[in-house]
Amino acid sequence: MAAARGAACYKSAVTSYASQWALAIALLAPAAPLFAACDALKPFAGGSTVYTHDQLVERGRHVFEQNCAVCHGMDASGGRGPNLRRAHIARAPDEAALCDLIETGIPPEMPDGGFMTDEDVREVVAFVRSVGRSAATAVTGDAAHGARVFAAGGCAACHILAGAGKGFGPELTDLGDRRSAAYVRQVLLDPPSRLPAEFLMLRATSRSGAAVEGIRVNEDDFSVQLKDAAGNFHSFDKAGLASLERLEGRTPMPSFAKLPPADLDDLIAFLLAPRAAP
Amino acid sequence: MTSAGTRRVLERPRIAAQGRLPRAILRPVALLALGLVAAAAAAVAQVPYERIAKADREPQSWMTYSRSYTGQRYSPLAEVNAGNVQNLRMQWAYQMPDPANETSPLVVDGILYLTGPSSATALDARTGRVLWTWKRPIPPDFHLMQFAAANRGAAVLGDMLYVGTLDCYLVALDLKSGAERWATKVVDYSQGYGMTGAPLAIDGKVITGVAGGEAGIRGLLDAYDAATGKRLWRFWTIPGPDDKAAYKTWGGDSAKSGGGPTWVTGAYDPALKLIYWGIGNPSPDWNGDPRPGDNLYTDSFVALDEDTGKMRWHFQFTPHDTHDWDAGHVPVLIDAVLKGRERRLIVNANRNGFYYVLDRVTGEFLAGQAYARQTWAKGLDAKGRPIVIAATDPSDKGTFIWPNANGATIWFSPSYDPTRRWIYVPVRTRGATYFKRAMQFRPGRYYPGGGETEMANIDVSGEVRAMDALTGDVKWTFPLLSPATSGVLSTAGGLVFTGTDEGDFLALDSATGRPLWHVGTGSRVQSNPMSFGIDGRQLIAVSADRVLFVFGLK
Repeated sequence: MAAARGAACYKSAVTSYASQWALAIALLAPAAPLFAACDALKPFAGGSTVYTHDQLVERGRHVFEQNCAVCHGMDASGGRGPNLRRAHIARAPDEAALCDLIETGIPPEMPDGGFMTDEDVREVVAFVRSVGRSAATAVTGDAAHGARVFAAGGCAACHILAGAGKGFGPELTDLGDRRSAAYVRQVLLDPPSRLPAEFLMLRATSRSGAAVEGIRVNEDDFSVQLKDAAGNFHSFDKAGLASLERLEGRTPMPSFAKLPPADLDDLIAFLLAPRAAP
Repeated sequence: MTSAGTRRVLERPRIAAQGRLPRAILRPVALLALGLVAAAAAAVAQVPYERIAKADREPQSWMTYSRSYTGQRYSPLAEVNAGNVQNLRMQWAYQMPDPANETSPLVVDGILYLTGPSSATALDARTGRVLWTWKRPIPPDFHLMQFAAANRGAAVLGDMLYVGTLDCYLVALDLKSGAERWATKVVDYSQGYGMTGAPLAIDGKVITGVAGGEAGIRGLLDAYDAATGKRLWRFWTIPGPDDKAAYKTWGGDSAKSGGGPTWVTGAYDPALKLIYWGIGNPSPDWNGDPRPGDNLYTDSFVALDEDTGKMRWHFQFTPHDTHDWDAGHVPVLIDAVLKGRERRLIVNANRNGFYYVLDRVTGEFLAGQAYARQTWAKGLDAKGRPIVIAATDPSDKGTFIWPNANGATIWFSPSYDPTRRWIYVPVRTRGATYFKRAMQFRPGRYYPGGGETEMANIDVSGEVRAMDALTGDVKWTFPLLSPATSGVLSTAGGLVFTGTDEGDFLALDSATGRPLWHVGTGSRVQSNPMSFGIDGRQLIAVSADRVLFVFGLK
């Protein structure tokens, strides 16, 4: 292992100088990138062995288990710290940002990785980037026809995809980054079998007997906010309700088990097709 | 009730020293008088030890972490009660510079002192306006080996405020200006130590512990001369070869990286001259293989002689812990009749899911039972040792048990209500799959030896639990939607205050657990509430994320 890294966590203290230099360099040599990538990502930084991507990921898993799992869970699904098994980590959208974030930490809750070697950081970046990605699976359907199945199936009444549709259910624009074909197929055939951990449908009934059904947005000991099928938010004090039913296992998503198999394949191909956000 | 007026009283002797004597003799007399005043000021410090020891004489003050040395976190103030708590309103708030605060303020003579990571601030307790601030720079090579760059509070004694810093200095600040009187290096932070807890100030001494249980530190508890900062004694929580019996509870040389931090403030019995402190987890946390044996004095309460630091007794809650069930708890001291005679007791709702009642003179186990969901032990034997269920240790493929590594409760304080003899405990209900991994120890780096994966869909919840403090029998529970994140305050007004993961700060009826008042703070509450008085009015303070909120009537 290379020697422990220097004071990566105190970058912020020299930001003004660094950005002045960066600006000067950019003006002198406009073709050069304005901001260099995190040091640990540079070729051969802190080590001489060249690993395949799979080897890097596997090595990164060990680094992760020993340094990160304390908060993020052994499988990166979260604990004291957030779940990292997602396509987009808001604070670290790409490799360089993730590398920076690991080196600098998020004071005060996430420690800086200043004690980690360049190799450690490079490997753990590879691992974390890998856990949010689904394994590539062959998609055989016709995405163009799948778009027509999507439209005919009324999916846009609940989901936003590439800027169009209604925001009741989860956005589907980047579904291909997040989910495997097998997963999407299972959700389409049997939606309740794959509900996210925090997902819950509620039925709130007022003392006058009026009931509102929707997806739970927030709940605390005293109040609840839910979102109805039209996408409207409702807020209730629990004390003012006649009843609050927890519709465990329920989802507004209908099953598409009755679609012809070819249409289902096409729909999956369309949903997983790579596309940029609008 | 005293308020800012006390400060004026303290200033008065200097003005009185100006006499009506002839000028010729004024100078020497004045010099003499000034000398006497200075001597008097030195002799009569603002917060002599006796004020803290007799905390009940001035219920408007909050002069040590848990208000009194008993660790009870109970306020004798009763202006706010079940009949009027609905009228609680925010009186003022203070925006702190650092997020995710866990600090619990002190209030003395109209001034509120609060801490952040390596920082302290004095506020006018009536208005929240800043009187002074102090900050120690965090060195560039400091690497946090704790879960949060937190600070949970300060200690006050004499004319000084005592604060522990992340880089392991104990610092004495002048109460009136925030200027440093002394700063003593406790230990080398590069070995994985940090300081996040509130020190405990007793007569002439300041006691401080350390964090670092995830980095294989050798835990310690120190006493310093309050006036000079000179170290008076050190208690190693992980024995050396000289303590043969305890050293034998560590296979091979595993004691060298044994852990045992001391990050939560202890309690003190002046009559017995004993300090009580909770000791944290053994290292590595999740892999017990390298450290066969009970691993003393991890996961224990210890009773130490205040003058020498010598251990009088220890009681280990979780021998050979492999689940990070740190005994970093505030010990609660209670005097009561139990098993036929008057006893001095020490009680604890432990992270491992069991409630314990011990004799605090001898450390003898008197009573105990599970108070939260746990699946690792059948119960406690006659001596209070857990009867461990087989195959509950972390494993290569994962072992699911309750509670998770944060335990059935954690560092935040319980509260004891002496009028009912009930203890209120914030409870966490959450299991985890625990994994074990082989790991090499390297000083100053993480040394967890495994980890856990939490299962979101399996009964994740919490409660505030009121229990008979002498038995652990439940009196009422108030359900929380999520595992508890905040400490508890009980008051003579018949109220129990606490916060929640969802960000509510709330008041319960201490007799029934019925919710009487709540307000949304906008952030998870992960601190200990406290109460103080000013201008004859009772106020209640709690920090949530970056904000210290202060509530009162009208």
